[in-house]
Amino acid sequence: MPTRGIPYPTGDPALGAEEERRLRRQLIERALEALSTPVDGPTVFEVSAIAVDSGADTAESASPGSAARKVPGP
Amino acid sequence: MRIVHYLNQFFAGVGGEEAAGVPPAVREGAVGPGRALTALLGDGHEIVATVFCGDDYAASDPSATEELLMLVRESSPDLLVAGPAFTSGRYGLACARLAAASVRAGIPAVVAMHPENPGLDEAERAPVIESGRIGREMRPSLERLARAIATLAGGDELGEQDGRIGRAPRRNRLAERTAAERSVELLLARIDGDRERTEVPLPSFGSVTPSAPLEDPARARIALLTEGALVPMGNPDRLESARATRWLRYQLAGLDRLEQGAFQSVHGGFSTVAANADPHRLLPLDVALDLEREGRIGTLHHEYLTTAGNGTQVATARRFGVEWAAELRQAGVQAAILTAT
Amino acid sequence: MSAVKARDVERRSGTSLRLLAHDVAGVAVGEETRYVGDLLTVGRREAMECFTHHALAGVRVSCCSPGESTRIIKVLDTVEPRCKGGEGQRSGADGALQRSAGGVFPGLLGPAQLGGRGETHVLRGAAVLSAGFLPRAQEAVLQMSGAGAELSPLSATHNVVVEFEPAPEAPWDAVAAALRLGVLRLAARLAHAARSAIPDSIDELEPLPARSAGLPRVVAVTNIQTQGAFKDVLVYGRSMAGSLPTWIDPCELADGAVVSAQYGHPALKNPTFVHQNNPVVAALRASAEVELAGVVLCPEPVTEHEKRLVSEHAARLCAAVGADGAIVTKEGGGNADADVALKLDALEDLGISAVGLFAEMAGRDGTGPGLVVAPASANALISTGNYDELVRLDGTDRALGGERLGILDAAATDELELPVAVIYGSLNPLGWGCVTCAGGS
Repeated sequence: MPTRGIPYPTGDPALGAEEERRLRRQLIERALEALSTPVDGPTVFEVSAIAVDSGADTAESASPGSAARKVPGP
Repeated sequence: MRIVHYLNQFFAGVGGEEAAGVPPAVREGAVGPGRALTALLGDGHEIVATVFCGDDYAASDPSATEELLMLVRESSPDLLVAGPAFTSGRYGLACARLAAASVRAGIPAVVAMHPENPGLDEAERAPVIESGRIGREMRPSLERLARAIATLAGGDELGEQDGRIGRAPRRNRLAERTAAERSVELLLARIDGDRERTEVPLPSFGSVTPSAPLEDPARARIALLTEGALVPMGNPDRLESARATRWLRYQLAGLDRLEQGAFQSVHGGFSTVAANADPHRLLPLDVALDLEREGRIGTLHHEYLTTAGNGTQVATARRFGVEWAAELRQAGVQAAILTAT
Repeated sequence: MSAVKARDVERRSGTSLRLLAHDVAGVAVGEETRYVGDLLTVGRREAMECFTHHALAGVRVSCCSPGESTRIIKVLDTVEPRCKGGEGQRSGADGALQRSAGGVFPGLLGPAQLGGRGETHVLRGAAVLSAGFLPRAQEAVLQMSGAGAELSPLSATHNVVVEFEPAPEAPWDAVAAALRLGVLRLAARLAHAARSAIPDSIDELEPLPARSAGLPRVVAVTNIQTQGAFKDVLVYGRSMAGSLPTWIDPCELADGAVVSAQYGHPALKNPTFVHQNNPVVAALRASAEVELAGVVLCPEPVTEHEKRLVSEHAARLCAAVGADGAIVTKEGGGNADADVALKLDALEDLGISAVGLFAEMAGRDGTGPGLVVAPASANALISTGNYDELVRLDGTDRALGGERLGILDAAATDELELPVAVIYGSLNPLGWGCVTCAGGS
């Protein structure tokens, strides 16, 4: 699961306290989904995260919270 | 030669996964595959004792290797033989560590395992002979191991022709041509389509077979893990900030949240300011507890595991993985969420 | 002739350089600088004059030759004696193009004027070395005879060694700069003594070929260290820190466009001598099966995103000159591995076959993982040896460069056991030497 940044995998200091906690909850809920999903190799579970000001993450969130992408094997 | 043979609890006939916590013990003479090995070795070699240990104990107890080595020494062997461990990770690690410690202590050793076994990188100077992938390939694996033991008994070193795998020690030598000249030759070979030729074989990172998904997180015990080096304030156990050789476990029981000032990250690879201001940015305890209260998570495991993932050697990281898996299985954990920095 | 036509002449012929090599079979300090037969005499007074500078209290010049029971410790840099020939002017093929051939070490001994044309005299088999204490310099050891001598190509040259005494209170960077300039000056003066001698051999560095259909075109991608004072390399007298990669003609290297000011990593540094004689360029020129497509010089930045930017940019430069292949080299240990690894992957991503030169850091017993950062997909690697392996050096009758070796707290002439990492030039990342590393017994 890709997250916001190396120094804060389950947070984002750019967000307000409440919003940050919502992001964190969203991440862990998504992690529980991932744990319950059958996979047969490396698979990326995207998170349609709460947008920060730029909205950079929204472009790919057409199917919110459900995109799982298989990573091609070596 | 007087040989001591090391086996895990399964091949020693003690039991399966339910016996994986069995501590080190010794039996006189050959046991299980050791009997077949004795027959293959013929006269002049004898398995005088079999040392064994449960897989979980061997992989997760910090003193396991030392305890096993003491049992090996009691029989004053000429050689320690460990395995074959096939692809079994915990068993392979135990074999490799015991063989490495044995060589360091002056007792020659040889290990048998499959090239994908994570123990391979931990054998240090002890030679590792290739075995099959699974126990059904025991016979050919033992035959190859027996030939290797005969070679060792003859005073020769083991090489690739004996089925030796893993990192044979690399030694400096003088080539006939300069590195620059060799680089041009290598480039021409590559342009001609040889995509394999190299002077520095790269480690293969292997692949991991994913386990079955959770049927229902609401009935599972789930652990939180991090390689973000989150430790109690003051770093009481002195976790390294880079090239960590250890991992640690800390209590979460009784905590509602991770207070600022009670925990800190000692990771040397990123700015820890944000994580120290709110440790939940590394370890999501607050929302995990919410989800547990709401019944979305069955039980949140009462400890978290931590290390510093910074400049860590692959072999070390692989060892952490095997040890964490053994630790969590013993604690009855079915799933884990690992935060990566 | 019109300006347009003059440009066409140059475009067709490119840069070419004629190296006039004078063999040196012996070296001594004497009254006057002379090159007679194949013997080089270093004039004591003239040598001292090269180091007249307020940051230096004085220097001592001595010589040593291959096979002598001598050890040089705290080696800082090595320069091959070279100077420009002719009158500093050269006519183009049709007599129309008049341009000064400049001097050697442009940007340091003279104006930063494009080098690499005309004639250059070379004292082949000789070298000028500086040795002594500088802060941040890691002690480098060079053995001229016995066990350990075979590890460094510089045990096979006749060496003029400059030891120095800093002026009281002189800042260290001024001391280093004065020493560097002095060594370059001395190297140029020594070569000057051979200007009227008939060369023993002539090496025509032909203009780089334009793209032809037949042979694979190959670029030498040369990473140079850029980590500030005492850990820097100068290009036309300036640091490359903060720069993007640049393409340069190999003839410019031969005239001293790149000068080392980098005193770390004894085994893994590229002395000025090696830039003057870039071994990868030489090997590519010597091969009948490739077409040399120039040199791409790259800084080694200290942050990952800059390393990526520089690597991708270098790959793009290689593509722009039509490269089919590239050989990537580094300077230094540790994070410099990333600069090679990232470039190999970036080149292969663009369809350019790439080979990287690495020294390994596989631990004393040779069982550790050799590379700090390995490429993700590229895998054609040359090993210049394991840095950590111990070597034994015979004791010597004489030592230059200092009385004691700090890392072992030993007398400079003692028999020593130390990691090969300390042997000057031994695992040269530009592929100068023959040391390699292999598994198995």
